Amino acid sequence: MSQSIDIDELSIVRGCQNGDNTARRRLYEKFSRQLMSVCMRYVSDRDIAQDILHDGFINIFDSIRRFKYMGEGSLKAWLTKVMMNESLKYLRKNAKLNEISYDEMPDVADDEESDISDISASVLMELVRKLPDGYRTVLNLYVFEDKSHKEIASMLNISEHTSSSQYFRAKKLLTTMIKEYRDHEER
Amino acid sequence: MKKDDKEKWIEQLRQKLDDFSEDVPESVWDRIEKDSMRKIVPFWRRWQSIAAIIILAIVSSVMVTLWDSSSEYIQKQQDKNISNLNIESKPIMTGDETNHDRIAILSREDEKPIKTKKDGTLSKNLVKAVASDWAMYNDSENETIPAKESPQVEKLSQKETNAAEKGNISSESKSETNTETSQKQASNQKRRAKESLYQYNANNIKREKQWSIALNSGGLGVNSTSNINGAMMRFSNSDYGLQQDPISSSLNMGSDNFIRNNYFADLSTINSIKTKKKHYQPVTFGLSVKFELDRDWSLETGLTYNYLFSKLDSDLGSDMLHQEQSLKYIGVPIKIGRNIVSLNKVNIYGSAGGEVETPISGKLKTYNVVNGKENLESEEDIDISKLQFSVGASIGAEYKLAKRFGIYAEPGIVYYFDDNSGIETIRKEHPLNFNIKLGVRFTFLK
Repeated sequence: MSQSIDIDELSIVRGCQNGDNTARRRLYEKFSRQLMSVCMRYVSDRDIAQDILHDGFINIFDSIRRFKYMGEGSLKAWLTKVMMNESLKYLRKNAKLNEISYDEMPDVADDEESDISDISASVLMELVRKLPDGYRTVLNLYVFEDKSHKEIASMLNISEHTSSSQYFRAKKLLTTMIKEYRDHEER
Repeated sequence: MKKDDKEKWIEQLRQKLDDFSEDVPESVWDRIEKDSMRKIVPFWRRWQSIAAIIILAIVSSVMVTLWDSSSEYIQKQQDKNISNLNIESKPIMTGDETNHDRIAILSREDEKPIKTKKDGTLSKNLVKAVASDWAMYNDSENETIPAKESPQVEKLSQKETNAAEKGNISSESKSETNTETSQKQASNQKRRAKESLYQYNANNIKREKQWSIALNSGGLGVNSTSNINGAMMRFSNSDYGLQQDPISSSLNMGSDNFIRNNYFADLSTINSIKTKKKHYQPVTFGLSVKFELDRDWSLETGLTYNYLFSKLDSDLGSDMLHQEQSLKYIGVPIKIGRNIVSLNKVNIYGSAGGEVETPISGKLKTYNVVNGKENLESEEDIDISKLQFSVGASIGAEYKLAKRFGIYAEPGIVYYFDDNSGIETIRKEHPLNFNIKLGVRFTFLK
């Protein structure tokens, strides 16, 4: 665990804890774009993601008094967690997280991707956003938040089996989409 | 570790997207700034209201203390007047004496103090009380006859003298009988005069005033449980509390005010969602100080602590939600009390007044229930910046266990005004309620 302290981050945190609006602005400027990306990764729709970003920041400014700065990275991790929770709240109510879209089941065999270093991050982001809600959410939680299928199941009110199948299908579908993209680019 | 399970490309995916950035229009910050600023102000207002309440409590205590000490001063002055009265009175009664002196003589005789006005004179009522009996008063020892009576008596004695010429013995015996009768009359009247005087005194003399400190605990009469059809409010307003009007609030999706969007998958399913609310009896503790204004009236103030707890269960089909709301208030009551019956050990009194409370903390815990297992989803602070006003009346019965210590019970009714906070509590459900306070009281003399 990183013990080094980012002075800039620490001063921002202290300022926000005192309700200082300048500090809040600095926090927003430093992290809003990354956090927007987190929200979009989860909810896909840009407008809704903006709403969630807004709600998340209000929550952050409210509860930052309880936050304990633990060194470099701890602030970003906490902010991301808040945004993730906000996104999940929305998804639990509005997304069909149980659904398995059979139409999109790829015919591709088990050979999965080995290297995607040639694909740009923005393209990958686009592809992830195109996944069905259920697949995308499980993928996010498993890959980006390091959650186990058991944890995902309780967070999304689905079964563990559903979680693992959706993750499996998400990978398959993403592989197919990447392949299609590559084919398209080569033309 | 899970990471071993992940393929290389997944790890690459993670690395590429972890720090990815998306553009955000400036309007989002404007909204955030505006909405977050709105929350700062209530925070300060809360401290202002607490400060106001404390100042009010201090000022009223000081005022009552000053009132008491000023009446104490008057009492001391009157004590002086009484002693002056006694010293200055003349021992022998004559027809020319003023009522002032006559009363003084009476009081000195029986060694009973007389209540006077501030300037040492007697109140008109007192004089009136005694004057009617005094008119007939005749001091038997000195055979003094009031001026009014003298002409009649003189006439009588004149007649007697005339009659005496006819027969000496008969006139003498007649005058003797007259003297006896007038003596008896005089002593009766003197007695009556004294009775009037002391009766008046007994009703008006000031006794030392008391004040007392009480500790009490109390509760409201009912829990409140209700089942409603409709969507439960989840975070539908900036205060994150349980809302009063589920349906209309839920349709409020995003607006200029800071209302967190309340998301429902399908609005048509709202009616099929069942919500169960339960407001528990509040827990109340109080410390109060009661000042006696006079024999019958008193003024009471103090500090109270109230704890309100509510539960909300909602079945949303795929999701079961459970919320717990807990609110803590500090309040300052002001009450006027009136003694109804005062016996040796038991005291019955009535009391009426109001109270202002400020919330000091509020928490909303949300749990979701999946497969029978409960998970804490979030724990949030409820920020109410509104004061809670209430009025009430009660009857109290106090039993003295010792000279300065007693226990009491005070049942009554209370009405809670809507604090316009939008938070749902038992006070919103049942604004008019029955409550009872039980406590101990320590009495002190000023």
